[in-house]
Amino acid sequence: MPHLLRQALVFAAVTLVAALLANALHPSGLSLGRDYFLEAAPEATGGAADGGHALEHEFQSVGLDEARDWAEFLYAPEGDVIFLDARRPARYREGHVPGAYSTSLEDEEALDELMPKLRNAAIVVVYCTGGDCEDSIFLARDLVYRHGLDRELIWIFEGGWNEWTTAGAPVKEGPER
Amino acid sequence: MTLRPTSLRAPQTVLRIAVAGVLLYYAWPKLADPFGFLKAIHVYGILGDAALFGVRLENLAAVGIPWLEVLGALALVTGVLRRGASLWLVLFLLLFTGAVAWHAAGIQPEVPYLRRSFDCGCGTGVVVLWEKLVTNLALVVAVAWTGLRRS
Repeated sequence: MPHLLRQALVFAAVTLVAALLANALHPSGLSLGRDYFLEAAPEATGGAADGGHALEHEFQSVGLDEARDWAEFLYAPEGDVIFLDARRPARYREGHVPGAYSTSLEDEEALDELMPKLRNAAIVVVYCTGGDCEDSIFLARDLVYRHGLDRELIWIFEGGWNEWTTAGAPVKEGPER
Repeated sequence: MTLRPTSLRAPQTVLRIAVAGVLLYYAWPKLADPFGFLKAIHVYGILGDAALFGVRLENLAAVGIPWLEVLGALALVTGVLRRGASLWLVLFLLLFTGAVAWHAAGIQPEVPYLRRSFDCGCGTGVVVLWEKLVTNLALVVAVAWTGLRRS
């Protein structure tokens, strides 16, 4: 085998081992087998899922006015209404809907811990930045197709954080909900 | 006048260190935020749902590419496995440059092709296409010239 190819193979092996080891030790390491960006199940869209365009989602949508009304109940002890912020944790800390949980897709532990609360809720609103942001849809699909949450519970607030803040709705900063 | 190989050593060494610095600069944000880089790769849709032994190649690429850059930079500077690392770096840069060019073709139709801007997932935030193409092709030439040559 030519010297160059032999070196390339050794380098690839070393890189692979280093990458896997670092990923295992990284606090935000990826699950190598997990599909983080689930597509709509065909039965959820009546067989019309286009698969590639996440913004054409299979969930119910909620507008700003109704989202604001529902947000009034986010601190109610019954926990009937839950808001999930699908943006990255750093964005959440900069500001979020008061009472919303930070549930970025990569944080599997946070999602697992939330599941009992979500199963008892009547309304689960998921939002991200707004505009072309797809994170809320990927999170909603993860909740339904991987965690088995009832799809009818979930509402996508498509206007997201941008519409919320533009409207002058209440904002909370920091890591606490 | 022809330059003797020995007269090229100093500029090659300087260029090698400079390229290594660029690669480390690109790698850092990817290492710090693997999921953010995975999202950036996913946008290209190149690897799709491909998996090997239960490992999704998209996830593996998000984990592996930053280390290709880090260890490639180290190889360029130290000389250890330099040619093998350079071969991978050239292939990776060409593949990624092609992916960036292809992705740009499908976005912002109202903007002239070479002026389209987007976050390429390269570790440098939003880039303008023509600048990214020039930078990447310069890197390919630099890695090939300084790293692939027999010393």
